[in-house]
Amino acid sequence: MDWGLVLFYFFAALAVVGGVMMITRKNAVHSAVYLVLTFVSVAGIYILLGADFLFAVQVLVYAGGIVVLFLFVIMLVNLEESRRLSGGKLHLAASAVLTCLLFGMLATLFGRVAVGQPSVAAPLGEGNLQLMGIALFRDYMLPFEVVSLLLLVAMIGAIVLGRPRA
Amino acid sequence: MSDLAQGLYFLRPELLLSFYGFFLLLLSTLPVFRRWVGGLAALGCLLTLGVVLSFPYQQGMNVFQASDLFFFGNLMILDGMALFFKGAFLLAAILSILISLRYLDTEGVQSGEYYSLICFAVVGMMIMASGTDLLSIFVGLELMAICFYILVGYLRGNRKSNEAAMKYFLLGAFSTGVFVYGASLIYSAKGTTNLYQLAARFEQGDPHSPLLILGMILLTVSLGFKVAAVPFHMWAPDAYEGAPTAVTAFLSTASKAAAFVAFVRIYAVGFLGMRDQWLPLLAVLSVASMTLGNTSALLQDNMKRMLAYSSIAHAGYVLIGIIVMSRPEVDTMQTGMLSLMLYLMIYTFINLGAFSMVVMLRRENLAGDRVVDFSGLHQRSPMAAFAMLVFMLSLAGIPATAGFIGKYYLFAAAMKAHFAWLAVVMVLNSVVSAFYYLRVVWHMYQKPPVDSVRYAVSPGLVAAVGICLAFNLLVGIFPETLIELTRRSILMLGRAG
Amino acid sequence: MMTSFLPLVAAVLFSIGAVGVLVRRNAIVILMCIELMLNAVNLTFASYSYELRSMTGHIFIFFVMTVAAAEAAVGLGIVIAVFRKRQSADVDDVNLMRW
Repeated sequence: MDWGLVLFYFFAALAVVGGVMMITRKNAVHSAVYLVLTFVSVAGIYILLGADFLFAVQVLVYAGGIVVLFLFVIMLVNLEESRRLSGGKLHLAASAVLTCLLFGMLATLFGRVAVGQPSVAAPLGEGNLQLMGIALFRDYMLPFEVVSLLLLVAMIGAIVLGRPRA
Repeated sequence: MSDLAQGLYFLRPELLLSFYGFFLLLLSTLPVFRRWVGGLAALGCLLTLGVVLSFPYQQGMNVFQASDLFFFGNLMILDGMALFFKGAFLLAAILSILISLRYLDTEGVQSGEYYSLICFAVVGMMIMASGTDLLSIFVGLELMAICFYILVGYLRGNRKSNEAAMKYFLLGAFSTGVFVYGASLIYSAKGTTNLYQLAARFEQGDPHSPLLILGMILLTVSLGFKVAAVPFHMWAPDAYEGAPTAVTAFLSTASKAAAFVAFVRIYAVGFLGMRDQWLPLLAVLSVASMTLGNTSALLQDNMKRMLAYSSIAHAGYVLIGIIVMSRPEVDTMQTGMLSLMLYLMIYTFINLGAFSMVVMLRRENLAGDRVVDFSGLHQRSPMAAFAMLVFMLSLAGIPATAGFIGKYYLFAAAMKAHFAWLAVVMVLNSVVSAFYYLRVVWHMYQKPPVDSVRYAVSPGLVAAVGICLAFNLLVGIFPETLIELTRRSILMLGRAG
Repeated sequence: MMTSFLPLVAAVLFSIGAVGVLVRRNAIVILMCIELMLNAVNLTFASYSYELRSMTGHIFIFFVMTVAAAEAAVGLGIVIAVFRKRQSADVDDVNLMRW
């Protein structure tokens, strides 16, 4: 029995369950908790794929940072339970049909997927972190610097929008 | 490290403007300089514009080899189109800053962060204009988008502005998700996100996998959101109406142009091998945007909302340029490119002018953004009425204005590429659009004024209106210079042309 | 085996996120759904990165994560701004589908 595969199915199932629970909870705090479940399961899948660095970042940034931010804001705006989950029935039905279509399309596509050829062959697994570092700071240096600017802008934005009106 | 040195050399405009953004941020912490930050921001954009213009002069127009144009690996390219659009973004930024100077005081939100956010947004756009990889386009797009989310919601005390920011943000973030999902499907089908490598793999005769087509559709949806093409336009009227008018002016011109550059890079370079697949998709988007945009604009009483729908319609016109680029003949393709670049540049000046006029009507206790607020403008300020007249005629595409030149070239390109039916749809739509543009003119010249309060004009606003007015009239009557400039930009293209 | 199944899982998660965005009325929950969509994207990238033995996918994931964090910060800032103006926690009537 391949334990890796078993674990993979386990995490995959957990991620999907977390996602479904998240969008069906009326209480935003519960949604956030189920979101953590999904994030952690995705992190588990990264480990199985040998992407250690992504696992660490996933746990730190998503489960540790973003969800805490969400919970903090929910507490701050003192969000009570939604009176209703969604808009009218018609709207709900239309959205459901649209999404079923999307998913059906995706599912049939992945059923007969043809994978392209690799561009840069790189062994994953053991030396993953080192390779990632080399790629980030050499080949992809420019986008790396640009996202630093982007984070600065996000910081300015959070302060500008969040501070009380003088 | 000569690659790095060359990269930084090519990146001078972005670097300068980023540092300038930091500088403004620091300066705005000192109350002494607060009054100067806006002017300095305009100056910074002007300096950056100088740096952008210095490239063709230093390098000579035609010495660029295709391989020399790339920098930072294959992530970026500095071709004529990139330079042309970088110039357009900077001009739009300068004009927006000029109309913001006094407007922000009226709204009571004067601060340095506003101007540095505009600078950072332009940096994002410039990176988009140069990006040749879905990754670099993505980070540029996000830098721009996040700046705009903040700028749209900048009037924190204004409920409309808040809601506009919320709506724009949620749909924008959604479209980001769609964009990266599309990128991931393309990556899975072809093993690369680089547009030139993608093009090369099409040439090798790789089969079109359904994943690739779905990826292309998702990218179309996402970029459709960014340019506000029907049916992905629902954010535009609310965001345009709620945002500070100066931001609306910037959003409707520069961000739209930036999204169109990404459109051109992705479709005319990366996806050129699957033009049969994207052609019908874009044709539908184009016709729907033109028709729905113009018919909805007929019903609007709010000037900003009307201009929002008009800008949706104009996105439809510009899409024709991309559709023309699907033709295999090189000169037809170049015609498409020329008409698209020309149109976006001209549209920037018309729309910024029109929004400047809306800014002019804004006073302490009057929003000034309804069409009836323009009533009797002729009696109160003949010059202002004349400027607005020119902008409206130009938007409608009446001969002897710049708007006509833009429309004419798009029309000619569509005819040349044997898309006569698209050209006809465009002309019919222009006729419809003339109704609502001329309605504003009718209000200005035939209706009595609603009140007699003097308009608050500021030097910055007058300068912005003056520049836009001069551009519209000069290009309308002597279009050769601009056309020649655009043509040269295309000749400098690597191999996108 | 694993990587042929993974894109499908990702597609499921993406669809769930998309449903959430279209159906839910609460801005904070919509933002969570968008985060879920971005996670699905990352899974797709990770899967093909593994399959193709290429680093590009991992790099893309890194940037998507950064952007997700930045978007969350700005989005929640906007939520707070709306909250402050209305002095109520009711962000339920942001009507996204209105034409």
